[in-house]
Amino acid sequence: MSYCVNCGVELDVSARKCALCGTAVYNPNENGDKQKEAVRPFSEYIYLPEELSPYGRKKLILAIITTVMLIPNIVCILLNLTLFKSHPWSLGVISGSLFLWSAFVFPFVMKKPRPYILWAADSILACLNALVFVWLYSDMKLLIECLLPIIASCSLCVLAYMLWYRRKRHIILKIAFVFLAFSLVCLSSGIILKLSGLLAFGTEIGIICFVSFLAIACFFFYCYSSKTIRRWASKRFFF
Amino acid sequence: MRKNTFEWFRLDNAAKIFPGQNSRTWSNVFRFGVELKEEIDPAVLEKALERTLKRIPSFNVRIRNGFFWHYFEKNPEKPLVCPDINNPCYRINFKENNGFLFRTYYHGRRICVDVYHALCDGYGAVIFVSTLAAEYLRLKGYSISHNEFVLDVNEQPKEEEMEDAYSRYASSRVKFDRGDKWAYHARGTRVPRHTGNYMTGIMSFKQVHAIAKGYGVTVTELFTAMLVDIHYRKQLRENKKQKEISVQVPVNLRKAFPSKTLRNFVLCLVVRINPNLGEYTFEEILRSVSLQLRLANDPKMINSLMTENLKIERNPVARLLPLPVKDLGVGITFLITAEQKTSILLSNVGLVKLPEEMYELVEKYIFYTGAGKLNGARCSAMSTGDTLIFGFSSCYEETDIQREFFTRLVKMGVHVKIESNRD
Repeated sequence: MSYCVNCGVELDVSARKCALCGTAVYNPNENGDKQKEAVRPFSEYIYLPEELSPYGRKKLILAIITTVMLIPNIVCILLNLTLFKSHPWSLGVISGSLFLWSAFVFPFVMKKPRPYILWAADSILACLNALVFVWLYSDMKLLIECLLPIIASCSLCVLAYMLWYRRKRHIILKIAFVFLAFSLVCLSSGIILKLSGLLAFGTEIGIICFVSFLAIACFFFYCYSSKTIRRWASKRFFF
Repeated sequence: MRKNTFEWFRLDNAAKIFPGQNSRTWSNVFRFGVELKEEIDPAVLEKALERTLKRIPSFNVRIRNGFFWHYFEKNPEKPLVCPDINNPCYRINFKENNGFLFRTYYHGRRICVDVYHALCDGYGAVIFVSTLAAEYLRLKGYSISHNEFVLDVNEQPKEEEMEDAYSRYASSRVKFDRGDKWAYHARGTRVPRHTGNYMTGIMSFKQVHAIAKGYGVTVTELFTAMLVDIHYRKQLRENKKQKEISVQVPVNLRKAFPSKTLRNFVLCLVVRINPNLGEYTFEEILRSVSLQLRLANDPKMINSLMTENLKIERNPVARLLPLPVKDLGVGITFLITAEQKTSILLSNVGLVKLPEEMYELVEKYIFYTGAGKLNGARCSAMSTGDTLIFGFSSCYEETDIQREFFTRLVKMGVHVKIESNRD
């Protein structure tokens, strides 16, 4: 019979330490072999069940969402083929839906999300979407001069952010870099719009947005670097 | 008995939520067991299990998906008996274990059964385990009689044991306001997935009862107050925003409503202490807990809570929703509410009366609720003869709550023996 000298509770004969406080069992009057021989109250074998695939239930939900997204596309194709035959406008709906599906459903289709594949798929489908809309409603000059450079600058910013994000970062730093990425996207988009002649004050608007987002990013950088501000913010904004 | 109640039957009102709560890593499973005074022979146990299942057909089932609801169907497979494991109450998968919703284990002198809560409540599980142990002993050559907790396996199953008693007794016209709020959780370092921190304190029922009597409360009220007090002081030490401490205490409704069902017939009462109201002494907490439990444990109040639960099930819109949508809804609700709103669970099965001959052959009973997702303490208690067992199941490595609880009992003069799966 052993007792824990710390907690005062009786321990099982087979116990090697007190389950409550971790104090090792040492009983000079009892043979150590007796402790080994005693049947432990619990088996020592830990059974780890087979990891179940999270895919089972998810598959059904994804199938429902995909079907729901598919219905308007089919309706539009049928309408385009039968009633409103002027031009293939249903292609726009299909490319838009495809982009939405790739952005919001495709990540969950993958068993293990792969960010670079998702990034590539989203960028390609965004370009494809732009191509379809420009082909349907405008001339190719706009696509070359304006839309493609904007999409390219956006995806480059996202890629840079993803590369930076690979290491574990503080939440405040993450927010700061999101705003920094926004500011760069705004600036580049403004310049592109100005150069393409679509927006006369493109650069000015781009600079205003760039400065605003940069200021917010700087505020977060400052919060990250200053312990006093972090403490104040955590006190004021905790939820 | 009607044929269809045996071939297939609906899940009872309480059981309906458990399949929705199931996840890849967690299910609502609890463990009952018996420690005998001799080594267990697995071949005899297997035979005893088969005979027990014939008497209690509500266990001899597998769960199936209907279009609108889950249902139980008679399981043609043979139940498995396995050597015990160190991590009881791990998740249930409906396709494993030959489709059975309970797992039977043996270890040394112990017979343990991990039961999925959709099958039955603690009372039903005690009867199943006691009948299994008695049948095992009978096959070993002992003569064991029957009583309330040990059924006669040669009898035919009774329809009243299979009924959904909620739908029979829920008849209140009053809307019940649960008034749940976010509760405090004593957190710590999580144990690895599929494992848990299980600990039992074995003590004398008479000693604990005498202490409870000294305070003028019941044993459940004393234990509840002790757990609340420990959590209350732990939260004060953490020096954060003070949240309510709430304890879920399941109540066996068979005492208030005469039913012999072996399926779920239990409801959880909630006892709360709000630390923002001011400082509490242990005596004040004990008084508050005792009054709250006695006030809530009123058949009329329970009936209104029961009716409220049944209303959701009977809602025509809810009934028409396909099963995956229902399960998804239950799962999300469980994530948002459920354990978020309770700090502690204390399930006290009470005194289990065995046939006289069994007391000499049974060392003690074992009872654990499964480790929760958030709760630092999910506790279980039951007593047989003069032995009271108090189990702690936790998903955290830390044992400060358990230590505080048992050392308090030691200081009160109770002799406590500890058993754990992690010593």
